[in-house]
Amino acid sequence: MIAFAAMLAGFPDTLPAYLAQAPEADRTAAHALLSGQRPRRVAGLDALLHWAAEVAGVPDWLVAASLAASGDRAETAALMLPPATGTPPTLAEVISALDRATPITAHATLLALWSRLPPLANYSVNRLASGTFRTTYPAPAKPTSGPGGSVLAVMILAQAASTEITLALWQDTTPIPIARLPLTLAQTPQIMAWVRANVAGRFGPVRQVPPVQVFAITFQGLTRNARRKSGYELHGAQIVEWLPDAQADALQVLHEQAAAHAL
Amino acid sequence: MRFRASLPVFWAENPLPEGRFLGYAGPMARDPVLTFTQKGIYCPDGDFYIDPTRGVGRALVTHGHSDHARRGSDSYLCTHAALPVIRHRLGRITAEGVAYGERRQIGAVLVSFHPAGHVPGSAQIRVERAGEVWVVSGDYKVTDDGFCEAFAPVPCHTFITECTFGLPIFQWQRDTLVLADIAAWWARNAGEGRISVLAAYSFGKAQRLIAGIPPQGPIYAHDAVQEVTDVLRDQGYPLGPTFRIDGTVPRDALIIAPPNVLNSDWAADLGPVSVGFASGWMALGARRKGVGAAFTLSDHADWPGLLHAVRETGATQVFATHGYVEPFRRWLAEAGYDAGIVR
Repeated sequence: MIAFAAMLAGFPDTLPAYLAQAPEADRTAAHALLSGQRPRRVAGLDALLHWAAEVAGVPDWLVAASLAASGDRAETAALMLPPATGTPPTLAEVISALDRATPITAHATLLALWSRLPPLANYSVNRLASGTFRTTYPAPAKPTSGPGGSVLAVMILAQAASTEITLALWQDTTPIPIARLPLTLAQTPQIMAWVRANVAGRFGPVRQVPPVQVFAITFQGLTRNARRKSGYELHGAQIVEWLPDAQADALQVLHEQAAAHAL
Repeated sequence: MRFRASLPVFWAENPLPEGRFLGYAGPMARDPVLTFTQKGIYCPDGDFYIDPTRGVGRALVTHGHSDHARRGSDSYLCTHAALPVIRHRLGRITAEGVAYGERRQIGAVLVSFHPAGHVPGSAQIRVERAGEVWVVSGDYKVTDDGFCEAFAPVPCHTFITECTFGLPIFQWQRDTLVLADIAAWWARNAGEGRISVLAAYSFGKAQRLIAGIPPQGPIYAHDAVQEVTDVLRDQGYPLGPTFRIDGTVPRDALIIAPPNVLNSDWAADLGPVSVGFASGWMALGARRKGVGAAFTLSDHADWPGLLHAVRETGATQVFATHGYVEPFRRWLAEAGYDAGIVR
């Protein structure tokens, strides 16, 4: 949970490094969250803040003064808690605990999680527990020189002789290519095996495949380029994850992506 | 006992000592030792000001930050350790240094300076008149940063304390954790071919970082930082080599620069950089917006530190200044102190 919260602080640049070191259960949980799935909402932000203030022994008037300084109930609650003790839970353990919580056990669940985590991680716990967690793969980012961004895209072509694949976003119902990138994931052999078994067309060394396999890609910048079919060019892009369970039809279309990236 | 029964245990492990100053009638028996004026904290019986806000006759100065050491006074008194930076910043002044703990008779009062743990040479100022003791904290932090002179509580009847971070949402992590985070960020940037630019106040925080970050490459300093660093290095503070920015800076370098230069042409000329900021304010998400990498590292006491400091003085009367004065005063009043605000 601590590594996940630290990753969110620098999202999306920090995502590849996080995924590279996270245990399998946490990777799965992170994918689910960043794809928009959420754990059960356990309590509202006002309740969380009230419970945290009780644990910390902070009276209401001092909670109000603290909230005025922070401006964020999830943050105020996380920052006023006493220092953590004990073994910190993993992301998967936090999600599991929140999913199991009932209205009756919610208070005890939160206190148990809080007592084992530092403030930045508890901030994410509070966002998850209150149903106000907002981070997803297609995060808004500044064009060109900004911190980059990340998108989900669908594979449409693969090179027969290498592991390069071409990824696309939807324009209406047509996939428009946005990047050709090397596959360097642990599951690359699996993906290439899927390509060989699902060839829909052959153009020299290029294999066309049905647009169903979804990948998360991050990029450093984005510029307009009229010579590209999409109208845009990604810079510093890399494939960070294969999402075999994602629904390719549900991906944002190209113009939504462009809007999200302020182009 | 002065504390309410509901006070959480991690803030209340040491109740106030009782009867530490036997034979003394109490702080309000006579005129106050220190008064609060337009020009700052004033001692009528010694005819001096502490950290005056404008030019006065005699100024006693807690440390060299510009909101505490200002131009225009006829004479200055500070610690020996604080004097070189104050001279560097204020130019030609009439100033004298004293050792920590050294007692000076000024008019009808005894004055001494005691470590505040804020920046090199920083002091709390103790003023004693006929057995009644007041202490002005200046800026302070209670944890030892391993670099500047460590804070030492000074027993007193009346404590005038800063409260920059006087809310319970401010609780610092251990220095070693934050410094390791900075080192990891620096190493990651170097691996990606980006210079690390860390914004920090040029006196105090900058040198604490230079001395404390586990080295990952060469450290460069913006001129404003380099000048103060040279002064402190000459004084004998343990500071490794830092380089002036003159031509090309290697990609694996860390540059320490004051926050105000980051948006200038200076920063634009460096090439690919990653920018970080080290400050206590980085605890708040709202303050982290637009900051590349945020590191919560402060030279002020956090909330538990402030309460610890107040308790350790044994003071019964406390005045709050600089920061969240009203909530901090109220907390102290509800905990049983005679609490006020420096106005």
